[in-house]
This record gives sequence, C-alpha cells and structure tokens, in this order.
Amino acid sequence: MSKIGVDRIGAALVSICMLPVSAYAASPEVIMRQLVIELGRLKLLIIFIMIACLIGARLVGPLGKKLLFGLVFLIFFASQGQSVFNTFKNSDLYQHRKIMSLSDLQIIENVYASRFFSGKDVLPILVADYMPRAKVFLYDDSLYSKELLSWSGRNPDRTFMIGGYESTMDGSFKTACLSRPHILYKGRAKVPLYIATPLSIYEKEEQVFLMKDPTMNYLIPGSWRVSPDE
Amino acid sequence: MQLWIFVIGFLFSNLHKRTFDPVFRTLIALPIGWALFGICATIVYGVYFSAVSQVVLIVVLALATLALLVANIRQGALSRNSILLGGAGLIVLTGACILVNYLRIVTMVSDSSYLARFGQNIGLGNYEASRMVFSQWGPFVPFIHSITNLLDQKLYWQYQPVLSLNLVAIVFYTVYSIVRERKSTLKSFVAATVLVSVLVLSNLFLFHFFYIHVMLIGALYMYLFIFALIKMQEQPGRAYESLALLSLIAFSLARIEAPLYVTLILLIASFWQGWSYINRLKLIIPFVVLFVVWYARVYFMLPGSPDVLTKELTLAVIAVLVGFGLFAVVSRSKILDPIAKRTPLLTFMGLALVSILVTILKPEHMLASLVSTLENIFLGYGNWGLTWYFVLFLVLYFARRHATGRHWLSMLLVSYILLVYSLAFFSIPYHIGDYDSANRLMLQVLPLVLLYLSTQVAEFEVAARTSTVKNKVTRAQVSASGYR
Repeated sequence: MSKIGVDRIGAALVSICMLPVSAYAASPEVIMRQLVIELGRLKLLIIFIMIACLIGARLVGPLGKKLLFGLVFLIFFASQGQSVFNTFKNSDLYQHRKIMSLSDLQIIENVYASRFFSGKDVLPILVADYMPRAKVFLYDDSLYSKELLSWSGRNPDRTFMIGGYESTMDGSFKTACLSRPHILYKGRAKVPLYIATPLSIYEKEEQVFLMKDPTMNYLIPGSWRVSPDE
Repeated sequence: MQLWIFVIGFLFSNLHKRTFDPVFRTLIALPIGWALFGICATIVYGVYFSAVSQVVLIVVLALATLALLVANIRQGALSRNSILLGGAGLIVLTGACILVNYLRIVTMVSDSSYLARFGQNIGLGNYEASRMVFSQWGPFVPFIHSITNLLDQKLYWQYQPVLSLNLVAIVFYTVYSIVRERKSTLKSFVAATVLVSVLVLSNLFLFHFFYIHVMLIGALYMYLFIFALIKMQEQPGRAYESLALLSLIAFSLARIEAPLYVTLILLIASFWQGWSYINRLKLIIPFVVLFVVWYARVYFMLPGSPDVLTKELTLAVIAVLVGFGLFAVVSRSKILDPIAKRTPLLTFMGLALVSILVTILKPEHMLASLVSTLENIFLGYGNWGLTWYFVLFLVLYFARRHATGRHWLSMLLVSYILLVYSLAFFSIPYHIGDYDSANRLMLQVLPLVLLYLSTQVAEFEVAARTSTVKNKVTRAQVSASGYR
C-alpha cells in the first residue's frame, strides 16, 4: 500500500511540476517509475517528507517549525548515517591494509586500477618499493621507455640491464615457479606478469630477471638459480 | 613530521593571538604549517632541483621554525597559556595520528599512485622522473609525498585522514563561531552539528576522507581563504590578511586550475564595496608575483610531451595573472574606477555570458555535462545520497527576504558553479559517476555552502523576530489609529 502511495503522490507531484512544460515525452508515471529506480522508494519518500515539512514550516508557529526541522534532520541523519556506516563496514575500500606501499596496494590489494602501471609496466613501482639495490635484467630494450623506467626513482642506466641471460622459461623451472607463492598481475594490460609473493621477497635480491613464455612474463628473483651465466 | 609541521603552524598563528582565539589558533596550526612547508618546498625546488634539495628544504624549515620561535619570544606571544595550548594541540594531534595509524585505511585511484610516485621521485632529487607531475597537478601534494623517504616509509598516507579530520573540525568551529555571534551556545552547537553532518554524512566524503589526491586539501585551503576574507572585513589587521594569503597560495599550489578560482574569488570578494585598495593589493600582488615566477619556472620544467598543462597554457596562465595584477594596480585610476566598482557584478555577468556562449558553441557537449552533473548530485550516481536535497531544504528553510547576509559569498558560489560548468568546454564532457571532475568540485565547494548557510542561520530568527516585531508595531499603530 505504502509503495503504491509513494508512487501515486510522486506522480501527482511530477505532473504538477510538468504542467507548464509540454516538451516531456514521458508520462508522470513513467518518470516516477524511473525516479524510483534511480533513487529508491525510501529516498523518494524522504524527499517528499522534506518538501512537506518545508511547506508546513511556513504555516505553523515557531515550535512547530522547530519540530518539523528536527524531523527532517533526524530522517536525513538516519538515512545518510546508515548508508555511510554500511559502506564503511562492508566495502573493500575501507579495509585495514597490512602493507602500505604502492606495489602492495596495486598488485596484492587491488585498491586502484592504474593506467600506466599495469602488467609488466608495474615494474617501476616494484623496483621503487622492493628493489633498492638489485640489478634488473630485461630481455629486450624495447619493452620499456626510458621515462617509465626512470619512474622507479633509480638511475635507469645503472639499474636495468638488457639481455645477457636465457630469458625463455623452460618447463620444469616454470612448474617450480608456479608452485611457489605468487600472483599473476594483469591490471589493464593484455599479458599478465608473474610476481613472487610476498613482494618483500625481492628486497634482498642482487639480481632480478624478467623472463617470458608465450603466455606471460615472469619476474624471477635471482636467488632462484637464474644468473646471466646460465 | 606532522607534529613538527603543527609546531611551525602554531608558532605562526600564535603571533596573532590577539585576533585568533585559542581554539581557532590550534585548529589552523596544521594547515598553516603545511602551507608554509609547501611554499618553502616550492621556493627550494624552484631554485635548485637535486638530491640535495631535500636537505636544503629541511634546513629552511628548521630556520623558519627558529625564526617564528624568536618572533614569538620577542613579541611576548609565548605565554604560559600559549605553551599549554600548543601542548594540548600536540597531544590531540598525536591522538589523531595514532587513530589514523591504527585504522590503516587509504583510498586511491590511478592518479593517486602517480601523485605519490612522482612526489617520491622529487624527494630523491630525480628531476627527469618527476617533472611530469607539474603538468598534471599543482606541486603541493607531490611535495608532501617527497618526504616519504625521510619517514622511512614506502607510502606517506597518514597526512590525508589527519587533514580531513582537521577540515571537519575547522568547518565545525567556524560555523559555530559565526552562528554564536548572534545565537546562544546551545543553538550554535546544534547548528554546527547539523551543518557539519551535511558535509560528513555522504559516501563521497567518506571516500575522500582517506583519498590520496588534491581534493580535500584544495577544499580545506579554499574554505580557509574565504573564511579569512569574510573576517578581514570584520576584523581588519594582519592576522586574517596573512591567513588569507597563506591559504590562497596553498590552494593555488594544490590544484593546477586553482589560480583561476583564486582570481575569480578575488575579483568578487576583494572588489566588493568596503574593501580598501591597499587591502586588495596586499593579497593580489604577492599572489600574482609568486605564481608568475612559479609558472615561468614550470614552463622550463615541463616534459616534452606534457599532460594537461602545456607550454602554451602556461604562457596563457602567466598572461592572465599579469593582466589581473595590472588591473588590480590601476583599478584606482579615474578611467577604470566605474569598472572597478562594478567588478563583482561584471565578473558574475561575464561568467553567465560565457556559460551561455559555450552552450551555444557546443550544445550537446555542454548539455551532456550539465545533465550528468545534475544526475550525479540528485540521482545518486555521484555517491551523495540525499546531501544536496537536504542542502536545498536548508537553503529554502533559512531563506529570508530581509536577511543581511554576506552577499558576495552567494554571488561567489553561483559564479563558482558557472565556472565549473564553463570549464567543461575545454575537456571531455562531465560524466556520470563519483569520480567525475564536476562531482568532485561540488565536494570542494560544499564547505563554503555550509559557511554561507551558517550566515543565514545566524540571521534566521533575528530577521524573523525583527519582522514579527515590525508587524506587531504596525498592527498596533493601525489599531491605535482606528482603522480596524
């Protein structure tokens, strides 16, 4: 009954507002249905109460005005407060984060979808956060622009080495890597990047290697028995 | 670090202890401290950008602290009460920092990661890896992130929720103090609670509370700037002048388009009746000089393929600033006097005309922007809930014909909305969703809407009572004269 009531009252109000305007193609009922879909019945009811109280406040004495204002505020407070509380409690956005680093927030927690740092392009922020000393070996110098590599905060010429190692993953090594804790980070890129986890694993490495197979790239810690000599 | 920044800000605000009451002095300490940090960083990195610059910045900040301490001692401002007040402020701030650290919540979008990463590169003195940031955002927030390495952190995120808390506290207290000028303590407290709940009770605000970006910082400084402008008229002197100047500089350093907003605000507020020529220049000249020099420096720092701010746009900004400065200087001349007197109205009408013009030039683009913005605000796409309905309710509830409120603030709010609308002409249309620029710019202006509402609330019953008394007197006169 109340649902029908809200729709009817709403339709009546919309028709009043539409009277001077002949350009609307839709009927008041259609617009009302649309509003109900967009806003929800409860919010629409609150808006009607606000309008009613606003009109009522012009007709009653000071005490009545205060009561009407209080009523509107309490309804607003309850409705918005509940919405904010539920969002804070249930949304992934407001969860306690274990590690506060750009790499963890992007790769592990998936807090934001980065335009620049997706797939293998996440390397600069990984280097910035977790590779303070490591030399990073890349299999091709066309993989990254020098500008992107410089965003790591380290000197790209001294940090990134091109070639000089076997960059293709062989079957057994791939199986071994995939059996270790890892994440396949894709973001907005087409090809994912294998990253060992936790990310702090890269912190003590002297060398890190970017490797590949036909399906993806792998960021392999040097201590996993890969060296430029092999 | 935030405690040190607070001390700098507190020492500064304590120099004006005769004007700023103790609570206000404590509340503005952190924003003032960060503003001074941002100005020092801009000067240091503007002059010399290298790995040593961070050390130089720390030395400059230390010297600034020392200078402010000496100034406090020489002025006799550092009384026992002031020290206790500063100490209490530090304890509260420490509590806020501990709470924020305990929550460990951060909200980000991709832009946040660039802001943070580029900022961290500034701290490392890596010029090539950070200069892109100057074509995307103002330097203020990246400079805050530049101290990440000093804090031995991978991401400096704690400053944002603490500043958000500070914004809420400042809005609450300023609204309270404005209403308190005419109402009882209880009524002022209730009014401040109602108005602040409008600000904080929305999912959009919740997101921005923890959000690494320039949004709430911009809102904080724009709010402080305009509050100081209001107070400058009521309490002339150096206290609110310096607060206004620091806030406008910090605001302009936070957002890339902020100098445009500042110019608009100054055109309306500082040319309003009652403002002296000297007071106007005290704000406009330092603002123009600092930002012409900064943008000239930015011109040479921009990368080969910049993002938003191109070299041509930089020159255009410099030209606008120089033109604005010259207009302010010669506004006292007899030829320009009639225009200068009507500057606020002309600015408002000019913006209205521009809005119409851009709508005619790109009707689909502009109307799509308008519709999206309205849908974001009123239909829930912008994550506002019922906020703007309640704001409308408050505006209509407290609207009074005889109100003597600060009219330039209402004109400024409408002009701001017109400017936001017109800016859509130069970019992609505003779109549906809470990340939309116009939606976020509405969040930036919301504290000012509440400030405006607080002036209406302060005058509400006074005006009503005055008109009731007038009515009673008129009725009494009428009945006495035998007409009834």
